[in-house]
Amino acid sequence: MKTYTIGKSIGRIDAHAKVTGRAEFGADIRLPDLLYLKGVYSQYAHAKLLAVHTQQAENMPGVVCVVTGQDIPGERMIGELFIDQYPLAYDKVRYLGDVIAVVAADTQEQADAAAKLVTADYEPLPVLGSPRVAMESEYLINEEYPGNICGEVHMRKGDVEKGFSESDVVVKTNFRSAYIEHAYLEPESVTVIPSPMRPELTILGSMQAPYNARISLHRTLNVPMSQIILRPSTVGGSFGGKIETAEAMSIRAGLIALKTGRPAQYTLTREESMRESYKRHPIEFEMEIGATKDGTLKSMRIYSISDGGAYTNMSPPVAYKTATLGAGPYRLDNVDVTATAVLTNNNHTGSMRGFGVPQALFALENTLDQLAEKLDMSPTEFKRKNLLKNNDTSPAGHVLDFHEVSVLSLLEKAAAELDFDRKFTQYKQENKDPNRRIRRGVGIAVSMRGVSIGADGNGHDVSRILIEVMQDASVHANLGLVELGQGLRTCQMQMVAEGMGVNVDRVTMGATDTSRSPVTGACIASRGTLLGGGATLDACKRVHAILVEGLQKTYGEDIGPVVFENDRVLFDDHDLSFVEVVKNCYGANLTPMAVGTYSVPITNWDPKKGFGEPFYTYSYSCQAAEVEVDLDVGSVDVIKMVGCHDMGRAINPVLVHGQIYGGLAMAQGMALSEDVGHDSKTGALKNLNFSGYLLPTVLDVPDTNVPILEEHPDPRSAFGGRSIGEPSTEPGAAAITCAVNMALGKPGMIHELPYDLDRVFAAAQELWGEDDVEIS
Amino acid sequence: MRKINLTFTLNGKPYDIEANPGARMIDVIRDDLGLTGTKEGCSVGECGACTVILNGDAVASCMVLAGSMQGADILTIEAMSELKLGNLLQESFVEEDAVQCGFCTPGFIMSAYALLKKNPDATRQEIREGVAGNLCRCTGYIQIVNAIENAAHHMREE
Repeated sequence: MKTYTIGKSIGRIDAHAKVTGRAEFGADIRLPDLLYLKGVYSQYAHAKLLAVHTQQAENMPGVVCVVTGQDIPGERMIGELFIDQYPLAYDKVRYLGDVIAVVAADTQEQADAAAKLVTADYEPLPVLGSPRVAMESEYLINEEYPGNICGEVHMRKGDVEKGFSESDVVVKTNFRSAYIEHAYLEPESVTVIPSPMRPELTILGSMQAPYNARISLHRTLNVPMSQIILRPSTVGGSFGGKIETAEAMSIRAGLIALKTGRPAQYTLTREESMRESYKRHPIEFEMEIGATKDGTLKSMRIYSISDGGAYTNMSPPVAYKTATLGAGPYRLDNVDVTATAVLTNNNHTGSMRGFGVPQALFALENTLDQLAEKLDMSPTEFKRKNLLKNNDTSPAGHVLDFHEVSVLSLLEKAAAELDFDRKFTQYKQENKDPNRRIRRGVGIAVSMRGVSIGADGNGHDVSRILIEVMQDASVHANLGLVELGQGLRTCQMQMVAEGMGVNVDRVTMGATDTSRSPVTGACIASRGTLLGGGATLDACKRVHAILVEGLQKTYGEDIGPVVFENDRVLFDDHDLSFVEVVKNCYGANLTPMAVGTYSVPITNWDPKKGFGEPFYTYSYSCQAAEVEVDLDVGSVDVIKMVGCHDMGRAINPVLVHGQIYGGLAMAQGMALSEDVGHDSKTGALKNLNFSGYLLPTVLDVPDTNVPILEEHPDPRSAFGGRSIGEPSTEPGAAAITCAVNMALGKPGMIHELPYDLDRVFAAAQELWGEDDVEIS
Repeated sequence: MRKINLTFTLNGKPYDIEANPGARMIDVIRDDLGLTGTKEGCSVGECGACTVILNGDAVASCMVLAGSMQGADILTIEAMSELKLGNLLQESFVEEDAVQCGFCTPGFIMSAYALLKKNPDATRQEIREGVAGNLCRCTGYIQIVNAIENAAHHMREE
């Protein structure tokens, strides 16, 4: 298919505003008469909230009002799928990030000072600080969830017991991932502006899912959805993180704006952001995998327990992805996965780039490396034998006969770029020498990423766009999917130009505005390219039909097929400019404007059996890593990473590269340094800022990382593309940890993330302590 | 609280203002002067988003009290478009795809500006060390280093 705009690396549309400092982020908004807010956090991770005392704070200078859960006029709880989260705690607190009151004052200093004077009466309850404690406790964090279990998802195929009995080698392992913070560089900030005309609120600021927020604002504040307008500001990173937290903040600020009639700005400090915001799920895995001695995978059993924290949030759909994608892109007849999510009194956990799968791949690939070693195979030999190919059936039972299953080819390219096979053999030999104190290792990991929310949301996965062609033939596209820094709106603009058959310079992406863009779900789940593209193509067809109607009025009913391509319009023996055709349309008093809608087709998935087609389509990835491990210090240096990905068609290759570079760095943080350090006795987090929560710096991330694209346009996607946001980070932590364990000389050696100094040092001592070194 | 009087040059313009003695430099820049291109990411000097140039040095403006601005020559991101090296850096960040969410971008550009002013021949490794105090969660850094290297190259050519 010849394309004119997609596939080209045009510059991102927001870059200039961002390099000049002019892009307006949430906390940059300045308005006359603005109120500044400060939240008051719960003193207990689990307690009945008996009373909140605000009088003293209200009497402080500059304080305009203090609100509590008692002030919410409508429903008291929010939640996209499961309504169980207090935006302002009412009768119970469930974690230390619960907010019990919000102070509004003329200045931030006044609000901060007054917030310290808010007190509350609590009746403390036992802190359920880990999933295992919560599952056994008589106390329920939420009455609706017996055993505190808020989600359980299965994927089953064949007969695992039979599979194990037919296996020559079976390995059993345990792994555990850490509490990971999204660590967007911009802390959350929302500004709510009340209308002087009617009870109407305009909400600006950092938010990833404005339509979700609109529902919650409507339900809690009793304002009609038509009078809730969300216009996200420039968002300083999100990675899944600016959804429920930003929503709760906008409700608190909205309540104050309605009460006072003044605009209200609510910005979190980094410590508040870390304390309150939801995290990536820490997950424990028990795995059992068997293969025959020729290296054929026979059977896999995975049991996982994730810490859902205080609110259900996205725990069940995260468990859905852990279950349906956690077995990787392997050919496998017998599989049984159970993913359980448990409520605790920790920070709630929800959407984060990868959504329950990076953790699973960490456990899976390290287990497979153990299995491969027992079979005397290298990781790549083992993978070559077992990776899915065209027309194979996925672990879930999906026959992959509708697009290119490229994962084996990706493996070969990634392995070649890293020189994996040679290094694996060489380092394995080198590492037998106990006197070698700096060891090298290589690791490689693969994934198949289900695109969008999958069959978990069968029938509900829909997107919309409004495209209007103006009298001067400029094209205005209104899309509710938010730019989070990934370049979504540049790519969507390219798809609009391609779909309309016009020069990309004609297209303007209107700022996301829920009063102008039709409801479209959120920019989550690597769904933007498939969903936004599908809606765009539909809208373009509808606008074209209106333009054709105009042509028929002028040129006669029988003009035949009309082609819109490269800014020209071709029919009969006519070759008109797009501008002429638009003029003609307006001349006929027609309106070239349409809403396009796209729904992901319903797939054949049986949730009870846990079998079938869990997603409509998939992206494939392979990431590989080389590391150096200093046995005497416990430090790990990442030498190089390779990210090789098939995202269908790259709508904008340079932006795809950007996602991969960033995804590799995020994976490195997950593998080696990031952990909020939670205390299971109190539910408190130890690392509330970047002094303790260690993100990879420029000196940590290898300068030699390499992104590789392999494109096979997907017949199931309107423009052939699939999103790269999540795939780009998904297998990376698995690759790095496999490399570290290889360097240590024992696949699967370290069971818990992150592989920080302490853990690597302890493992090195255990395996290669000085006592064992022969002095030659 | 009694305010303190501060006179300084910021982005080439003289200022004579009153500020709270307890205010940080970032508060003066963002709130009193309304220059919001300088970002606050962590408030403890770890992320570098608030980096400005104070008498030629890149500093985290969240860690400096307003009093340090007295008599100083200060540059923020808002001045960069007007300065040759600043402009080269900005264009280079765009060209090399060194920008994603953009929140860290002003800080990186300021660190790079201070570095290249002092050391126009900075090697790639010196550039990496020069921006090691700036965190980016989106890009994976390589494009940022490419952009700074590219700007340095252009500056030397001109």
